[in-house]
Amino acid sequence: MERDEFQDYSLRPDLGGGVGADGLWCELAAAAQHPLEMPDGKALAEWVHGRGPAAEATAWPIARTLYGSVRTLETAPADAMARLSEFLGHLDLPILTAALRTAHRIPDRPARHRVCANRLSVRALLRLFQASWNAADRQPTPPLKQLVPKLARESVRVRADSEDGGRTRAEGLFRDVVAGALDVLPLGSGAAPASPASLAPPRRGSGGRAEVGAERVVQTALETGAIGRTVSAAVEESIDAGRTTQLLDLLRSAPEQNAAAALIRTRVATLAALARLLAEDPVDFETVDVVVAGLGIAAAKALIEATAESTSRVTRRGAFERLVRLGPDIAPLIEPRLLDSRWFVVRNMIALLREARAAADVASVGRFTTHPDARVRREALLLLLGHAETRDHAICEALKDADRHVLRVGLQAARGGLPDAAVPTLTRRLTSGEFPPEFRVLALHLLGRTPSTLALDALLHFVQAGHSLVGRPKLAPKSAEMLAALSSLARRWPRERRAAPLLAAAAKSRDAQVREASRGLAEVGPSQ
Amino acid sequence: MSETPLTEELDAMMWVHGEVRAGRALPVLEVDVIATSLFSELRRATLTSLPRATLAGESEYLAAHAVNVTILSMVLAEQVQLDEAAVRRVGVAALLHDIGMALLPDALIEKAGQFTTQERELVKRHPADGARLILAADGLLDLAAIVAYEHHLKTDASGYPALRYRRPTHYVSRLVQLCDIYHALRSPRPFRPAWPAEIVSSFLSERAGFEFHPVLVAALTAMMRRYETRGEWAD
Repeated sequence: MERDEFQDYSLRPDLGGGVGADGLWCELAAAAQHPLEMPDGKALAEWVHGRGPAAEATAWPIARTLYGSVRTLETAPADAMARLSEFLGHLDLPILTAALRTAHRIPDRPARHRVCANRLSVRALLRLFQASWNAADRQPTPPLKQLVPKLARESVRVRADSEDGGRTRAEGLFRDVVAGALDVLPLGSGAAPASPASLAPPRRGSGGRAEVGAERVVQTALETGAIGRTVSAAVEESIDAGRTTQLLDLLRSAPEQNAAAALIRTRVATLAALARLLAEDPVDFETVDVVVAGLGIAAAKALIEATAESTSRVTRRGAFERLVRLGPDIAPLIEPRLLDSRWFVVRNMIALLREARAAADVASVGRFTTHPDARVRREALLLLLGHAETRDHAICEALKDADRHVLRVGLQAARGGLPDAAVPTLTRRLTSGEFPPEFRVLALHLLGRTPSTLALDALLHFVQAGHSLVGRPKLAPKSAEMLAALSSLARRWPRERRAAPLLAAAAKSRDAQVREASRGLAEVGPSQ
Repeated sequence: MSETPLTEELDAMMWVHGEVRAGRALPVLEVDVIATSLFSELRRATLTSLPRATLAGESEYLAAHAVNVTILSMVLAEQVQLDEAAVRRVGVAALLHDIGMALLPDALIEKAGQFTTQERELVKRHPADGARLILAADGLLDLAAIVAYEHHLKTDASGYPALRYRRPTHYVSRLVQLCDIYHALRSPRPFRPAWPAEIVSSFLSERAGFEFHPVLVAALTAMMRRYETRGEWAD
């Protein structure tokens, strides 16, 4: 059969439906090139056989006519069906096999087979069953070879013996089995058998006490680690019934390294499910963790959304923590959120980048060191301080900042080393008096560690209060700043020409603290 | 007892076990055909006799047990008013209830003496192995998988396997369980003779409500009184 021929055929609306059972029979006769319009079934079969080597050429027209006429078969009168059954029952097996072999491209064969299974005679159906296996180039298995004919025999026997519903029931069993067997055969295609859909037991809802809840199937699958069509169907059924949460509950207690759990996770661990869970109040974070584990980095989108948009602080915090656990790969998903106009969103996103140790684009974060909101600036600086290449710049920026919290971040970072570039800013702010008093001591100690003469000037500024009448440098009144600066001078500049006289004067002071500071013993307190 | 020996079904079930032992997928189509054929045989059963597979040797025990438990289960299912579609599903489930045993070595199934602890543990794996086989098969065999998994669980939560998720045992699991025990006790085994019918009935009745479903026990014992009038279920 050529594909084009099949396609042409498939476009025909309904070959048999419009012409009725007799019309179908005429078409069959015509397909077999019988001279009569209405030969009986056996005669038509014998006619086909009599055509010798040309008989097989009629295979495709016969198959096409048969399969194409399913709707007619469904409603055809009993005598028409008897005639067709007789034809099939008498047709040589090789010719029927050849006809079925040509039919493998016909769509929706299972539905057509079911019609055949319902309406053909037992003999014709058994013939169709045998020819189908031949057409699929497969040998029926021993159970099928033995039991299908046995069921057929039983149908015929009960038909002869029984007046009651036994006949119908026996035939029904045979027809069910054949319909199922026909469904699984890949006629002529050589492909693997299709799923035996018609063999499926009645779906849930029809079995009463034999009904099995989807949850029980899922539980069993999780306990055994089994996967397969039944498990997938149960999972889909649960999802369709809106029982995703129950599935997630089961997953929470599921064993690790379990194939069924992995299968279920791929189905229920969806962004939509995660978004639903995060929208609840309060959020069930144990269940969220199951979904996040299933989604992996794909969960970041919904978690970022919750971090940015949730009105619940608990939800925001929970989402944030899970994002941090996802690690540095979240960076590309966060960066678009840095454009948000709300300060707290930007701050949280920067904090995420920092805590997740994401290799953020430093330049893109660097711009936030001048953000109007100090909380954003502080977060940006904290991030930049974590990178060696931006640390010095971050300290410089922080030490320029008017906000005490930002300044504290810069000073704390500078304890690990004050960049040279930060000295001018720090000295300028210290000496101009605009530096917050609570940080001055720390700042002076930091300046004491640098070799910069700018730093020296600043230290002297806090230690010296002009000169005496005889021209000696005069110590400034004692203060925390004075002691800190004095101590720094003692440590860093003990012999410097301007520092030395001051240190000497301090060493002779009556004040023990001043004397101690002159020996470089003043320390920065813990609060600083 | 019917004279029908169910040899075709017995052979077919042995073939199914062979497929499973060979590591091939559970042949769902064939299982369905066997169950259908047994259901068809039941249509021929009279009020006082049931078809039953007889075994020619111990090697056939597993298949004969599956076939006979299927017959008993389908009849009991009818007794408790399950509809025809459900009875056929019960048949498939009963046929496969011990399919996990097919993975055990023959020597273990046919062993004459008591199991060692290690052997017992191996045998105890058959419900989970069976459920896995069935769930992996290309068919919607949910009931069969559940029955294979649960048929050694008791009402009082004893039995095996241990459940991670607590739930009551399925009705059909309890139904097949009774038929399984009934047939096993009525069959001679290498390690003991068959129990007489009345002793088996007493055994089940004494445990009704504790280990077994009381209504099902009553239905099975009443049913078997009818079919056991001539002691036909002993091999």
